[in-house]
Amino acid sequence: MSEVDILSMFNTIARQVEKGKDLPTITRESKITALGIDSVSMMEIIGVMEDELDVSIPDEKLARLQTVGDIETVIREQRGNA
Amino acid sequence: MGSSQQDVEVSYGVSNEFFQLWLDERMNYTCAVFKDRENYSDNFEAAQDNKLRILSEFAHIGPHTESVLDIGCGWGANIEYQALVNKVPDVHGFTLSPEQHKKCADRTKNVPSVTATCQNYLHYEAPKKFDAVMSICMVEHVVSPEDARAGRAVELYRDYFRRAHSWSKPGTYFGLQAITRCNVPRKKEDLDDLRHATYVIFPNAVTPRVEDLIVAANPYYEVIEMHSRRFDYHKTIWHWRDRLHKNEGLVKEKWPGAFEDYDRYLTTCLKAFENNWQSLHQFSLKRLD
Repeated sequence: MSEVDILSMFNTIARQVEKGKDLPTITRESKITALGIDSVSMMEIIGVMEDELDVSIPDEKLARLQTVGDIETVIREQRGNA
Repeated sequence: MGSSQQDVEVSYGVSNEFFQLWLDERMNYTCAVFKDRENYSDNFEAAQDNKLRILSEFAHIGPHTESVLDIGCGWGANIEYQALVNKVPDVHGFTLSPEQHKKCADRTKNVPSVTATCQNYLHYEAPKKFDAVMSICMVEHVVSPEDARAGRAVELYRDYFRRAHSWSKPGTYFGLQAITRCNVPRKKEDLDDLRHATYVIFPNAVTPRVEDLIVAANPYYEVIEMHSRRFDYHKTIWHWRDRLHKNEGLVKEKWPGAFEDYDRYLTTCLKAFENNWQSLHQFSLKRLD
């Protein structure tokens, strides 16, 4: 799956999880906190992405994911390792 | 950076009388350690004393110990224990919570060997070097979720260890206890419970990962001994929730909303320790000199 697909998947799932919130345009550089997504909602988004992509992000990496690009990178790493 | 006084007032400021209803007699708001390793069936008060005994051993407190510092002393359970049980002649503790400090001052007013202050650990200046340092479940307030996400956790824990080191004499030990973060749940209903615990009960606090603490302790301390106590904390929470339920009527009458908030919080904690989202670690750390 290409990087663009992961970004687009994040965009879709984030809007489902944060329904009712008016999220701004999401880019790879977007800081998750600046999007108004808190760490708990981020875990929900990541859980859905993990299920859909059949990957598992190691827990110790979760706290340091700051941007949407960080999530994309770590998912790509895990898919590469799979 | 970490919890502010406003944050800790949310966590510990409901009312001293409220916490007294469901904690043990000494008011430890931290994990007990049960001698019965199969069924965790000990009397709860005895298990809390056993925790203080173990951490005293980890800090190498004995007849030779002249002074102990407790970083984040809560309602004063440990400082009182050090003075009355271990007979340490000079014990000092500090907490950032005014309510907890009030209780510390009250319970130790007739114990001249104990002093307690209300202050942030970042502003503490030790008037002398201590023979032993202890810190029981305070390190969870050192890093905020925002700090953790920005990759600042190890740096901030290291600064905490640096301070503890600077407050102690060469060759001494540090008895440390911390709730630690393990697996992170992904299901919405579990995350909703965690959101409640995070925002309503412990705003701006985050439990450390055990590997971060070990990395951060260097170059100030070496880990001499470490114990995992996940099931001890599960049983501790069980006791707290049981006592809260036994006082449901009174709590609902005196502190509207508190029963529901704390029942949900403690139920979430039971799940957290059952499922290894959280654990509890105790460390005996020796100064590197």
